Amino acid sequence: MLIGRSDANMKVVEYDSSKMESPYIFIGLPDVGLVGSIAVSYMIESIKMTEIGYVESDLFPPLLLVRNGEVKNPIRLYSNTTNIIALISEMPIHPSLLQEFVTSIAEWFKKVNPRLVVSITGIPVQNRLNIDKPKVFYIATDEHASSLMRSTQALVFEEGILFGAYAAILKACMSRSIPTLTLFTQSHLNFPDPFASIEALEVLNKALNIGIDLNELREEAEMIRIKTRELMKQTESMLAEPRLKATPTFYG
Amino acid sequence: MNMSSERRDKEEEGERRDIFDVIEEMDRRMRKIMERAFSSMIMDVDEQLYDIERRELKPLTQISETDEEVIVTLDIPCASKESIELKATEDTLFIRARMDRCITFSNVEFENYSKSVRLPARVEPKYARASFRNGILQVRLPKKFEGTEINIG
Repeated sequence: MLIGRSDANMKVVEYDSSKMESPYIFIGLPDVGLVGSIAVSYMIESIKMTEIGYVESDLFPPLLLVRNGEVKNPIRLYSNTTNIIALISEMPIHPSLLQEFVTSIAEWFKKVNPRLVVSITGIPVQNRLNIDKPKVFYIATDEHASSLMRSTQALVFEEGILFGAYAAILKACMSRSIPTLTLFTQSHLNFPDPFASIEALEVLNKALNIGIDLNELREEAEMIRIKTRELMKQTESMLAEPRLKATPTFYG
Repeated sequence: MNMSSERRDKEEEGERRDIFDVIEEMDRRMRKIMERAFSSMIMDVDEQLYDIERRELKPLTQISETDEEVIVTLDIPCASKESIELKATEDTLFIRARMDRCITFSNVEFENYSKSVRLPARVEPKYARASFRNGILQVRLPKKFEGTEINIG
């Protein structure tokens, strides 16, 4: 009964499964400073991507979002005609569900056969308050991605420890030979940091020529910080709790 | 029903149920716990971030400590510097600030930030310093030294 749970309980649902030629996939999940969430949701609006599917699971809390009278799933996929796919989540992914989540999306990625999976996140720095222009670091798992980064100001992430959702994605993609690029921008840990998102998008604009106009994000930064407070607060409790403390009581 | 008969009933029931029922039951219980954990999390969040009655936003806050200081950092985007009111006692920091615009959430208009922060150590409020940059307020409060010096004999 427990065998095959992951297949049965979490899946990517597509509205339109029309095939794309080796797309670029951008991932923005709630994490440090919401750097990826803010960057990827701005990208979706800015280049007018449309929703193509969502990630579904009966393990998720019973949560739906209502936007302009429309019901939305919290974890959604978007695309546009220029071979770009975006994955965003508007709820933090609980550490106990991370493995299944990552497995299901990595299997889907494999099917889509992307040119590159680009993850965007933050790296918390204590003196963020005094940094005017946050630095962007990267980890590339293939030569194509590394060469793209060499034309930008991004620096190689030389040494450190990764944990959480982005580490899990990186691992799952590596084991399936899916090429990845992960961007880490210096950011606040538990305050939404749209200025860090701007730096990450600037790097991607330069490397991939996606032409995202960042002016609106600059102008709206303060409002975005207010609007994303709730998601930041929910995410903070996940960041502080890499393991589910209640585990023993499940069986007690 | 006394203890022993209760136990006997349970044992009989246990024999009737096969392993699949047990797993299913465990699975159901686990989901229930998770759902409860999630919903309580979302409720807490609301209470921590809004005071609907007073139409105030409660800022995201980070509290850290060094040997000498308590450092409180508050995220208050859209607040104007001139409007910030800060007060501290030995164990609490109180902040109030006006926003430069009205923010609407769930049909409620918010105009102010307000929060009282319980400090993790006793401080000397007279010597506190504050800075405000890019909508982030940082207050550094030196810890109060309350001790008796010990001579090395």
